[in-house]
Amino acid sequence: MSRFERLGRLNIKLVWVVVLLSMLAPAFIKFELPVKISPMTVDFYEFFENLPEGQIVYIMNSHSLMSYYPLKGAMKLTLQFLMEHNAKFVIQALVAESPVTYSDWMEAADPESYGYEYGVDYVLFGYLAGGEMALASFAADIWKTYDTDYYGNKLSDLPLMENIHSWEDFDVALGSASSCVLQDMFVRQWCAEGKQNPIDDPYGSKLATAYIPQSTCAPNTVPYLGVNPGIHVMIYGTQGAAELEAVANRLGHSTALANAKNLGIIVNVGLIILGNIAYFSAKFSKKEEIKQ
Amino acid sequence: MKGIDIMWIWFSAIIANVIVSYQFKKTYAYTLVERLLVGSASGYALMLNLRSIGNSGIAPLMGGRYTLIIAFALFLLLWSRFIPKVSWLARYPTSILIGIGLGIALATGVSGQVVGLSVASISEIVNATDSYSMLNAIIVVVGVLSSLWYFIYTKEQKGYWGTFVKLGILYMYVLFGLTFAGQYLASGMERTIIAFEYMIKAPLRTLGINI
Repeated sequence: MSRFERLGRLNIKLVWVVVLLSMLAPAFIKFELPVKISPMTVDFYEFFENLPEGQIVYIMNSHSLMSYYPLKGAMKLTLQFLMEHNAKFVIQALVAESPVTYSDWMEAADPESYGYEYGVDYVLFGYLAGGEMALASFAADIWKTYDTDYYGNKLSDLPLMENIHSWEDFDVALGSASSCVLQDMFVRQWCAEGKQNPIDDPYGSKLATAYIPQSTCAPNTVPYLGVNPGIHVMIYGTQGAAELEAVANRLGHSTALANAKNLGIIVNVGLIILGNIAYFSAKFSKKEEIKQ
Repeated sequence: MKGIDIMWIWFSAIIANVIVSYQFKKTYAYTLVERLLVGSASGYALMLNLRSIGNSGIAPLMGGRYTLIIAFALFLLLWSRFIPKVSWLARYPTSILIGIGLGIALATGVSGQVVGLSVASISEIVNATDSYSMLNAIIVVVGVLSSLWYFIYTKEQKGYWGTFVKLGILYMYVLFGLTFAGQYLASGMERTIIAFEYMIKAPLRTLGINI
C-alpha cells in the first residue's frame, strides 16, 4: 500500500478530532484571524447609521434555534442601532421558536438602558402559522391578523399600535430568517408592488428594506440586493456579524465565533486537498499497476 | 447563580455530550436523549400551535369576528381523512390552502422576482463601468439563461442546445457546492463551536473555571 493510499484510509474519527481541536484552539490559545470588511457590510452599517430619527420599523423574525446563536451578534447590534436612532419597532414571529430567540436578543440589546418601554417603543407579536399567508396578512392589516401580542396584551392596550395598521405605516422593513425561502416571501410581500423606495434613495416616503439571512442562505439572498423590488442592504451569517462588529468598533461574540470557525475551515480545506491528493494518487498508481 | 440554573447547565451539558458521543458509538444513552429531544420538540411545537389557534382563531371569534367560522369549518374538514367514507372532503381545505398560497405568491412573484431579477441581470451589462464589471455581468447572465434552459423540457437537450444546458448544469453544480460548503462546513462548524459553549465552557464556569 502506497503512502497516499494509507493517507486515504485515515481513520475518520481521527479527522473529526483534528477538526474539532482546530476549532476549539482559539478558546485556549490567543489566536486572531484578520476580519476583512466587505462593502456590503459597510453599506449595511451606514444605512442604520444614517437612519432618520424616530422611524417605525417592521421586523420579520423567522428564526429557529438553529440560527439563534450565529446571528445573535448581528441582531443585537442592529437592535441597538435602531434604539440609538429612537426607532420604534414591531416584531412578527413566523416560526414557533422565534419569540424565544427574539426575547433573548432583545435582552442582549438591553432596551432599558436606552429608556425603551415595551408597548410604547416596541411590540412583539407571537408565532402565527401560515408562512407567506401570515406575512401577507400582517402587511395588509395587522389588527385583523392579531388580536393580542405575544404576551397576551390586546392591541388596543399597546400605545405604539395605535397608529400602526398596515405596511403603509412603516418606514423600514427588516427581514431575518433561518430558512432559505423566507427572503423570497419577504421580497414578494414587503418589497414588490411599489412598496419600496428607489434603491439609490432608501429613505423616501415608502419602505427602506434590509435583510439578515444565515450564512447558508446568502447565495439565495444576494440576487435581491440592490434590485428594485429587492433589498437595500444586507449582511449574512457570523461573518457579516463579525464584520459589523468590526466596522462599528464593538467587538463581541460574533468576532470570537467567526475566528474559531475560520480556523476550522482552514484545517478542513487542508484536509479536503489532502483527501483529493490521496484519492487521485491511489487511482493513478492503480492504473500504473494495471499497465505493468 | 441560582441552584436551579446550575442544574440546567449541567443537564444541557450532559445531553450535548451524549449526542456528540454518537460520533464514536451509538449508545443506549444516545437513543434515550434522541427520543427525549424529538418528544419535547414535538410537545413544544404542539403547544405553540395550539396557542396560535387560540390567539388568532378562537379569541377573535369570541370577540365577534364570525367570519372565522368558515375557517373552523375548513379546519374540521381536514380531519375527515380519518373517516374513510367522507375522507374526500379533506381535499377542499387542502385545495383552498394551496390556492390561496399560490395566489398570494404569484400576485407579487412576477414583479418581485421574475421581472425585477431579470431586469437587474441585464441592466448590469448595460451599466457596467469597467471591464471587470462587464465580465462579471456576462457570467451572471449566461448562468441565468443556461440554468433556465435546463428546465425547458419541450425540446430534446442535444446539439448546441444540449451544450448550453450542460453549461447550466455546471452553474448549478457551483451553487450546490457553495450551499453544501455553507451548510455542512461553515454552519456545521458554527454549531460545533456553539455546542462547545454548552458542553464544556458553561459547566466549567459553574465550578469557577473560566477558559
